[in-house]
Amino acid sequence: MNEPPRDRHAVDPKLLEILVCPLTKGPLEYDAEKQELISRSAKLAYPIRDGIPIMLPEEARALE
Amino acid sequence: MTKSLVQEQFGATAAHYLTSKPHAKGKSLERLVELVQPQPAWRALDVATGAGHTAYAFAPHVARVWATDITEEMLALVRDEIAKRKLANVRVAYAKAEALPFEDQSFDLVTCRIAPHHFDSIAGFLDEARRVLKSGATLAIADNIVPPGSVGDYVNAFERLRDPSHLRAWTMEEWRAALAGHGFAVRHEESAAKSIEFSSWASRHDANMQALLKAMLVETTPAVKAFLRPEENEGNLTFHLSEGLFIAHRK
Repeated sequence: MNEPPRDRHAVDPKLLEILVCPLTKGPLEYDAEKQELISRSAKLAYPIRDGIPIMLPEEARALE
Repeated sequence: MTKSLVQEQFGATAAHYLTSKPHAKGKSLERLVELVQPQPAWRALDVATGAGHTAYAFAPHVARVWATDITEEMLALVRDEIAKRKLANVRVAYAKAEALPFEDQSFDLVTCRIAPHHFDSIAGFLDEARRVLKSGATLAIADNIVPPGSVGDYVNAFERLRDPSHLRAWTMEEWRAALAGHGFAVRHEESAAKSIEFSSWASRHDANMQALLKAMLVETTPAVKAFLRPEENEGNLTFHLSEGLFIAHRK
């Protein structure tokens, strides 16, 4: 997994250390710009709101 | 977003759970820490953390605590409380107990207190708890329990009338069987009655509903009364519920 960039939202890179997709248990990529955690395996983007990851599939954005 | 019953109930009453006596100060909270004997290097997960009481209790004893819940209002409150209490090692995420967003074998401890009776599937939660726990790691559960048979059914119906997100509290026997069936070895179990103040317990409802709940409590069969033990003292109505506690190891 890539080291997530440190940006103004200041999401701690350690945030990702053990988080996986709740559906597939596959890895997540951190999109600092969109504040999302991307699960390629589930084709879903989980939002991070106010620094809190929302790991609920019904709250996730479907990827193309 | 379509909210589940749990999200609706807890969203509307989030702040209440920060000060709710059975949740904030229940005997089982200290007892859990005492029985689990958390270690400084541990990574812990508190599932369905609610107002975060169990996460706050374990945080000073371990390296890191993750706290999950499905209710937005609850975790916003937990995040503020973490800052207030200067607990830098607590992290929060929204997640369902039956679909945890963590790698396999990533925790030394999973706790879950006064929550499984709200879960869609306690079996699903136990599968996930087993998956995220390291081999030999600890699962600590405290939840409302009911007696077997019709008395238990009545108590569940009584609790569910007050709180529609209360699905079903299990019996000690059911917990024992489920833990064994999901790959856990029980190291310790106990149960204890807790005294509940009716007025505080029923305060989320209007007078009509409170009267109905009170009738269910005081006008019932001797067997149910023997369990709930309603007592009225100078206009102050109290009763009892039971909490079961299990400390188990992942096989």
